[in-house]
This record gives sequence, C-alpha cells and structure tokens, in this order.
Amino acid sequence: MKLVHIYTITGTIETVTGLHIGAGKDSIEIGGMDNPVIKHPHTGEPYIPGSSLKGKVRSLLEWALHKVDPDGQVWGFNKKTRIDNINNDEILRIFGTTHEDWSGGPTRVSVRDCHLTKACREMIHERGLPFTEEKTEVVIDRIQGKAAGNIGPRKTERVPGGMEFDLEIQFRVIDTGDGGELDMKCLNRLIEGLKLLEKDALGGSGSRGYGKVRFKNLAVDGKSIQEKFDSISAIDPQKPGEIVKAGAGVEG
Amino acid sequence: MPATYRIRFRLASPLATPLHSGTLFGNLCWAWRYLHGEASLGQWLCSLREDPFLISDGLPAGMLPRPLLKPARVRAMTLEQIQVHKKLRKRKLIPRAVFEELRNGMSEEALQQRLARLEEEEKKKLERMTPHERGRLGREERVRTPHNRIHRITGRTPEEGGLFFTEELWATGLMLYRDVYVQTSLPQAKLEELFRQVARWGYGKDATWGRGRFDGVEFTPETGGLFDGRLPRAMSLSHGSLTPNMAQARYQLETHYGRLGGAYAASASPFKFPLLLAKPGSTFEAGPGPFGELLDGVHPAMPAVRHNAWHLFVTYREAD
Repeated sequence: MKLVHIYTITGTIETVTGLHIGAGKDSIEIGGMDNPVIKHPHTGEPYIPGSSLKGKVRSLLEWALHKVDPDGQVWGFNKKTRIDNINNDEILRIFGTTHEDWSGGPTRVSVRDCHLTKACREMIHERGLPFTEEKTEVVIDRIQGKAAGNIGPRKTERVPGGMEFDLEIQFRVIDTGDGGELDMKCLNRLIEGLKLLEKDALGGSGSRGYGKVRFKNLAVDGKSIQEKFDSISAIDPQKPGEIVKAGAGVEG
Repeated sequence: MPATYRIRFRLASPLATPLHSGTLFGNLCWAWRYLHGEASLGQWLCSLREDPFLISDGLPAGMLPRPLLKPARVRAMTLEQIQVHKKLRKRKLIPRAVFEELRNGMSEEALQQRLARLEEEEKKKLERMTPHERGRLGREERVRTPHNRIHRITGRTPEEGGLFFTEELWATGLMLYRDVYVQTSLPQAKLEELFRQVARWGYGKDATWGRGRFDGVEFTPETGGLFDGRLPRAMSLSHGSLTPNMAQARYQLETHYGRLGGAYAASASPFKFPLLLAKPGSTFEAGPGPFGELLDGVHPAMPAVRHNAWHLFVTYREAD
C-alpha cells in the first residue's frame, strides 16, 4: 500500500439561496436567535464545516450508487451488513469506514472547513453588512389559517445568498496493487458527488429551498475542471466519468 | 551524529488531537509508510533502538514547559502575594528566553520572581497596544462542536446515537504558531518530507474533516545553545516513560489512551493499551541517556506497533 499522489481540488462555493448549517445552542436568551448557524468561535464569521460537506456528498453518492442501508445507517457503519467485494467499494474507499471486514486502506478524502473568501469578507466589511440574515417562519393552523398558538413564530439564522467560501479538498490516490487505478475512479466519483450536491441542498431545511449552492472555479492541482464539471448531466452507477486522468491531472 | 532542529509551523485548521510527542511520531511513521512502503518503515523502526528519534511535544512558539523544581521555601506572605503566587504556579509554560536566562541557577523562587516581573511587563505592554495589535496577538480556546449523522431514509438525525460532540482547539493570530524540536540522524531533507506530508494531509483525528492541518513549516538547525552543554539536571520536552536511569526524578504522570492511526484506524480493535507517561516539564539527573524508551507490546493484537516514549531534553543547573 503506497501513496501515489495527493490531488487537491480547489474552488469557490457560492450560496445561491440562504444556507443554514446549525450550531446548536447552549443557552436561551430572551429575543435571541432560535437556530443560529455555525460560526468561527473567535471571529464570529460563518463557515461551512468540512464534516457537513463530506457527510452530505457521501449521503448523495450512497443514493446515486444504490448503496443506502435499509436501516438508514451510513453505508458501512453497520458492521453486520454484508458488503460484496468490500475493499473495492467506492463509498468506503472515498469516505472511510469502521466495518470489521475492511482492509482497503485509509480514508481517501479530506475536506477542509470552507471559510469566507477574502473578497467576500472585504465586500461585507466595506458595505457594513452583517454576515448572516434572520428568517422568521411560522406554522399555520390549517383550520384557522393563522399562526399556530403553541409554536408561534421562530427565527432561523442563515448565510444569505451570494456569499462565497473557499473550497479545498485533498484526495489521496493509494496503490493497493492496481497502481492507483481504482482510486482515480473514486476521485472522479467524488467530483460527481459535488455535482449532485449542486442539484440538492447543503445544511438544514433543503426542502424549503435553503442550502442551494454552486461550485465555481473548480480546479484539480491548479488545472481547471469547471467546464467538465458543468457538463456532468447524469451519474452512471457502473462507472464514473473521466474528469481527471491519472498522472496528467486533468484530462487534456 | 544526530542533529537537533526546531520545526516551526502555523496551524491552518483547528486541532482535534493534542500535539503530543508520541502521537507526532506516529503520524510521521504513517507518512513514511505511505511514501516509502512498509518494509522501509520497518527498517527505520528497527534502527531506532541504537539511533533514537527524539521529538518534543508541539509547544506554542517560543515557549518551553515549566520545569518541575524543588518547592520554594515557605515564607510569610500577604494575601495578595499568595494570590499572585498561586496564579504563577498555574503557568504550565515559560518563555524559552526565561529558561535560558535562569538555566545556570534555576530555583522555584527565582523562576517565580522572574515570572512575576514578566507578568508585569506583559501587562504594561498590553495596555500600550492598540486594539489592532491586540487582535494580532490572537487567542486560543477549546471549542465543543456538535455534529450529527443523518438517517438516510428519513433525512433527519436518528433519535439514538445521531448527535455527538467533538472538542477542538481553535486559535487565531500569533497563537497559531507551534514549535516542535527533533533530534535525529535522519537527513534534514527526509525530515522535511515527512513533516510536510503530515502538514498537508492533517494530523491526528478527524483529518478527513480537515482537522490538524498546518502550513508554513520552517526547519531551523538548533545551534543557539539550548541543547548544548551538559548541566547536572535535565528537563523533558516530551511525553515519555520513566526509566531507571532517570535518577532523582520529579514528574507528573498522564495516562495516554492511544489509538492506531492510518490504515489501521479502521481495524476491528484500534485501541492500544493505556500508557502511563511523564508529562513535559519532568526533571531528572542528566546522566548518560537516552531517557525513556521505544515501547513495544502496546497493542493487544499487533506486536509490530510501538510507541515513542523517549524524552528530548534540555539541561540546567538547580540552585542550592
């Protein structure tokens, strides 16, 4: 088992609609926010946690590749589940597993927290804008047609549309006796997973239109893949497309 | 002939695993294995008993552990002095410059006086600083972050076992910088290759979420005298085991609950046996080294797994 190469995927994530990745809340304040978003503990700037991005892409690829555990568990989490040809499983290779039959090597992907781009941060400071917006929602009593009394209005904090975050993903291609060929397919599969995310939603309340994002300026090891990424239209569960080629980086 | 290096880097993400010497060594071993293969790593590990790889904990830049010294003589103190004394005793780190200044006549009393003066100087300096300058100093804090798993069918957090928390170190400004000291006969280029590999992928747990990344890795051969000379007592910069050659030792113990890393992290039994290690700042007589040892038999099923429990140390003289 030897490391062949670490590929770096870079780019920008633009929020198209409001984005809510919750932070949880330790205290209750009168007039305070019901559902705050996660923020840098020192600067107070919102960010997209690497764990959220990784988890969402994993979940979407599980659905796309017909690998949804009937119990609703993360694929490979349930150690009793029998997985055929486990060491060649794309999901487990890319995102990792603790399955007891696994011997396919370490997790291949590492997703960084995505912080605001410098330009976006400066623009917000220059205009004196807040980093987040408050959205008030109510539940309507279906008979009376007014806000339900026992729930009342609630405030949700969101990162507004049009904000930009720096994206950085590392992917290690490891030779497990095939010269790294299978991991190259996994890298392409991961990029397809990002496309699925564009079509779905990141964070909470996706079904209400929150969390639509767009990937811009995508590059692998500095070479643009944006055009190829934009042209991905469907996912073939049998075989990923070839966006990045081994050695040469991006397909010429 | 081993050389000593100071490796300074900037934390480029939060840190989920503390920068302990044995864990740093483990991460370097995995970097070696992925870059050069298992056989090559095995050869290096076998050579270490004759040629130890001494590594310190990751310390805030410019700092050293506070040495464990003979307790100061009891003297009559005012309430205010007792409060200052208690506060100073809690400092776990001291500036390297203070250690170098006192190393030829170190005592708890002298150290406390120097730290009290330093505290006063720092307070005045802080008062003169603009808010911008204070911001540049930065701060660090342990942050507890919630995470959840999403039930694939319902799309919500499962009622049982879905929500979990991680504790991470978040830093800003100058608090992002760390120093690691290494004494080895490996060529500098090799050491750089290993460190840069760990820096790029991420150190410790949750590296796949981007934790434990660092950048701006700088290697400086240590020729400033900190590791030169042979004074009568030694202070460890590492988490190491206690060995019989560490005479007249003063130490604080910590239980290390280690886990397998890299490709073994997902194995059926990733947990190592708990180890009882002396913390950095332990002091002992500086006889012939090395101090501590390369521990084997630390995992119930994998005899090849080892733990680097050697002490990288600096020497000093204790005042009578």
